[in-house]
Amino acid sequence: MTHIIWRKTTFLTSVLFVLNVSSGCGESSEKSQTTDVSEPVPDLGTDSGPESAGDTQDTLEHADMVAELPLLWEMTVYVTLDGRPVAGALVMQGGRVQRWETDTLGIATVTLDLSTPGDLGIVAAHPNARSQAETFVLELGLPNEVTISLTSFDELDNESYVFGDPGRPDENSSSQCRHCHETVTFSWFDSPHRTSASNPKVHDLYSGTAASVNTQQDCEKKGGHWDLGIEPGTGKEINRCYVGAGLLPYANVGCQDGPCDTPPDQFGACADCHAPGINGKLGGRDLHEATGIAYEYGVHCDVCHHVESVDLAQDAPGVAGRLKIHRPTERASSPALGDFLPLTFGPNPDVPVVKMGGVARNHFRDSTLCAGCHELEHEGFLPGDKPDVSRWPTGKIPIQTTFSEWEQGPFHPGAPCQSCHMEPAPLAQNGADVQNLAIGPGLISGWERPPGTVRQHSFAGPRQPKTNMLQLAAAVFIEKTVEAGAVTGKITVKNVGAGHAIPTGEPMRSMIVVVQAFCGTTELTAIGGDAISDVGGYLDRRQVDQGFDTWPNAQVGDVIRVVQTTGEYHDYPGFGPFGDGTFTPAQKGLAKEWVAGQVTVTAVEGDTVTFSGPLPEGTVAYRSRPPAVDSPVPPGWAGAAGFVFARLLADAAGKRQVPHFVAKDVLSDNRLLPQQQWTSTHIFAAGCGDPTIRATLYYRPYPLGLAMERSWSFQDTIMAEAQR
Amino acid sequence: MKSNIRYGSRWLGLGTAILLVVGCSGEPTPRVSGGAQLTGAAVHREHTIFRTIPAAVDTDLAPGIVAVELTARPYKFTVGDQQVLGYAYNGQVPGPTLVAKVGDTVRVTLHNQLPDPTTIHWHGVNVPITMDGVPWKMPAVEPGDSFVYEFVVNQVGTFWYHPHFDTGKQVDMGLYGALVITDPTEPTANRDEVVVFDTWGEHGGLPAFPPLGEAWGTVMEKPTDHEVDHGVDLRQLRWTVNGSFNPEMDAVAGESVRLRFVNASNNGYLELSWPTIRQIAGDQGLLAELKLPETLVLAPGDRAEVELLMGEDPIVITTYPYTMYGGRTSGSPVELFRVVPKGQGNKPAGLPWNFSGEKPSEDPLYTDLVYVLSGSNQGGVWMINGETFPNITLAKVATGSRPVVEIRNLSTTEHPFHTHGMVFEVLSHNGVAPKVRSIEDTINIRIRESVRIRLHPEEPGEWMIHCHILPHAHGGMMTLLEVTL
Repeated sequence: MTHIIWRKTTFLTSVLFVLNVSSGCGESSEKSQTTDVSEPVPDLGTDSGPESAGDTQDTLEHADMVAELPLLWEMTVYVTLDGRPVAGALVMQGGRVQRWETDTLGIATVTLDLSTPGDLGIVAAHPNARSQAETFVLELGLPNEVTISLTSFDELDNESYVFGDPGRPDENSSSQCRHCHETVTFSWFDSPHRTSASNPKVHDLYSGTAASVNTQQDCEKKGGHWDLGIEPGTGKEINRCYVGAGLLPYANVGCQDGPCDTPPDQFGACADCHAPGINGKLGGRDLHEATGIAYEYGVHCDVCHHVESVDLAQDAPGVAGRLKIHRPTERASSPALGDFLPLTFGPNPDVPVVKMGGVARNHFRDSTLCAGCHELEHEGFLPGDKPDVSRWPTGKIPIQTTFSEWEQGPFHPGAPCQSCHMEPAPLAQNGADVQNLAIGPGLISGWERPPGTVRQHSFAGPRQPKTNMLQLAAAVFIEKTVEAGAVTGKITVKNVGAGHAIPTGEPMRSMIVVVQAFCGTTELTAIGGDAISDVGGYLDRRQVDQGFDTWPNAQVGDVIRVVQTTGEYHDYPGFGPFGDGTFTPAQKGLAKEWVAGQVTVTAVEGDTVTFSGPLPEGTVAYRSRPPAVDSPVPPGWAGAAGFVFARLLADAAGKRQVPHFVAKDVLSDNRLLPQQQWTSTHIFAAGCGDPTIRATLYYRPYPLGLAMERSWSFQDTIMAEAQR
Repeated sequence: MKSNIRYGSRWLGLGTAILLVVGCSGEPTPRVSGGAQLTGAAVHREHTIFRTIPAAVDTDLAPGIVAVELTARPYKFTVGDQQVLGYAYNGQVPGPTLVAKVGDTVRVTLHNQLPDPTTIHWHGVNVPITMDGVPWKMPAVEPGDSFVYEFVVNQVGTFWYHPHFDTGKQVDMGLYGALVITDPTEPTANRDEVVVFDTWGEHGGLPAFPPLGEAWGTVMEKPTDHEVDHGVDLRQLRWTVNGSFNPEMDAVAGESVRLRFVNASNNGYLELSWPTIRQIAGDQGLLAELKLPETLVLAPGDRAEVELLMGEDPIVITTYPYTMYGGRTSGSPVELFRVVPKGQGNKPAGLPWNFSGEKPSEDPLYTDLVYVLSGSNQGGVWMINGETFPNITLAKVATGSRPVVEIRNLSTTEHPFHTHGMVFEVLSHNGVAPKVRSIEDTINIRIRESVRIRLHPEEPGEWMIHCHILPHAHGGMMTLLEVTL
């Protein structure tokens, strides 16, 4: 590549000439004069005949190439850190991508492209210092040397710092991030990160409450206690319904059966990830301390962009563990900057504006930052609830392993979390939305970046239906055979799209594939094949030794599904010991359950019910109720033809599908890892020559039993469906 | 890799400007305007002559046979005001247009006078696997060697040809041309032109006109951190139209003009716009019915045909700035070329095209294959189903079957999904069926989009399926689909 560099001695004159060229040289003609000072073309036997495709002979009129000349200027940049020359500092021209590194003398020789839009400036960046810039006015000439002085930021975290306000779409204040960063702030506002501290389900599990139950009568009907307790987000005392398991009552003796009678001292570190913006000391914080911005905005701009580093060797997730927070200590010289001199970590080194105090960190570009929270093991809070070390040698059970699932899969490292969960913002010319600003690109508003550089902060996931993330992740395939009066469907569910297991994250989540067969519009009866386990949900369950004839609380129309267990277990590929050969099929804990049949309740007399037909023989029966139109929860599918994929936690008493803080074992984990698939078989009585098999894969965010206990309202989401 | 040496005014920068000014020879000199805004083709305020691409010479006079000699060799040519040393077929960029009638036998003798091996792939044309130009099914044509491609053309429409060896580099250097397969029963427009678009300056981070070889070396082989920082395309690309910037095509008021668009860019997207777009054909010839879209997106590798009905006003063909990173981006439409009528006359009626009127097929609601596209410009790794070519899983479908394939995009960019050896019908985009039946060989998959298609495999072989953003293909976004007998 040939660059022609003109040094200082000629520069000013040349600029003046260039600016006045059209008036200084008479008439314009049709072609620009080219003066070849580059390397000669070697003889490679090239053609260059009159048929030349873009030959300038074709030119009607000279193409006015205004402003397309790259005007290059060589400059020596000295960079100091705390007054000493520093090696390895990055030097760059604002708005250009080329970087130079300083040598041991702190020197980098850089080439400025004077055609770059916006302010003409040189930026120096160092990992220990806020980036700084020198800008120039072209008309005043350019130096050929410049010194940029960097100052190390204090590496101590400042507990006195008050986290800034990210803002919201319906407000606008210059003190808020959204004032300049609309695109990314607005996308973040619609993300679950924003609601991580205010999510009522999180608080229900934290306190052992049912937030949506708001009368004493309804509470007591559920078997709960109506009592004064702390209102999330305000810290005030209000009457709340205490029911079911909660972190506080589980881990603190004085908090059982209701609000805490004595102040709790075990908080489970929930706030370290769910409310990382609680001001003051990091770690050991009560989620109830999250008020104001910390509560309303959860995982927000000023928290994430104060993550100086991520220490993956730390076991504990969050701001008191893997995430190393550095809040600035240096006093600001101007009230406009706040109490402390801004310090902002981000992906780009060319952010020298004082209001940001930009320092580049690569963990914003890869999955490391996400691993700060999306990876959690658990060793139990109470002495009696420690995991069995013969099964879990580290004494810990895996709860959330999203980062590990990705790290051990084919999407590592080529497709980091951001590649799926932070889509590009094609209209944003930089993170400060300079396309909306009258002042144009430069030092204050940031230099223009090419499309794809700015990423939406949507953190797209299952709770944002418009992103289609669930539908992109899984696929369902059907093989069908019809013979001997039966139709058999082999249903393969595959994780085709996710770089981690599906479902991942919170272990309350499950995927349920429901398989049906039809002759026209008539649904066929399942007579064999894989059955959906208890994880698919039910209203009531009875073992064969309890008898299947009596069903308290049954209603006409309820469905009784009977399954047969054989004592055998599925040998499935799974994560960790469930897939690496450590566990036997029995230890993998996924019992084979076969469809025996189902009946419908046609009459109820007390606890005794009458069925639509003879009860099939089996070992377990589940009662479910077809959902009403306005049902707050989806139906229970346990015992139906289908299959379930989940990480199944159990507590010390063996209760299944429990919240993770009470878990002492992972009974099974047949979630589908990236590109992994599982095929189940389902048999129906064929009532016609060519029945249709239909498979619907649902995503279920919460266990049905837990949701009913807490009066949570939700519906399953269809991830994939097929019929053949 | 060979060195690519180029010279010309653009690279001379300030030095050139000064020399020119000082010389003051009476020639106009490029100048710097206040603000020095780099805005791509928008700054071209004058027009060049629209160049009709010369057709290839048929050396066999026998009816039903089109015999063409193509010589690929290094070639020094001019783009705008700069000269480049690239590659060309028969000394022209784009290469000569091959014209055949449906049912003809096409025989192309390729003479490789490049310093590198090469092949020719017949993009969109169903040819036997040994004629497809993919080097793992047949050896590439070595420097100094020749190879005869021969196949019968049974499709109608606008196709193109390009190497499939070091594809990104060789296409970028100028090796591409159009193949037009005509149907004698179709009406004839007054003017019928192939319009090949290509981009310049798409390699972000480098100056607007990087030397071609360097662009290949830095962007496609191993993205640097700097390019990772900034992606690989600039906000506004600079487009050539049949090798020229901003040409002006003559026409006559009252006549119809058929334009056959080919996007030969390695990674540039077009979102074409002009008043009343009348799209008559897509990748595979005439559509089932006339489409009147607001804009027309042409992804890399895509083709489309339109009909212009010339009144007395010029028609200005523009493109919105469109990025692979999510579609339309900020900026104003940029003129690509214009068609300027002479004389007087009213707009004619549209020609009576042989639109089939076929309705889109119903989606059978099952899926045989899923291709998930993933990857990121952060790592330069681009995958299909978590795999990078050649470490891929070979899927199989049967000749004559009509497998349903779902393509999903979970990556940071859009991807033109291209199938070799077979065409497909589009069943739906994100569950929405197309209004007009659409038969394609290249289809753009937007970010987080699911597109369902029905393949029409007819020729046995292990066929390439890949993204036609060539740096992505180079980064691994390719796989094989075996069509069994």
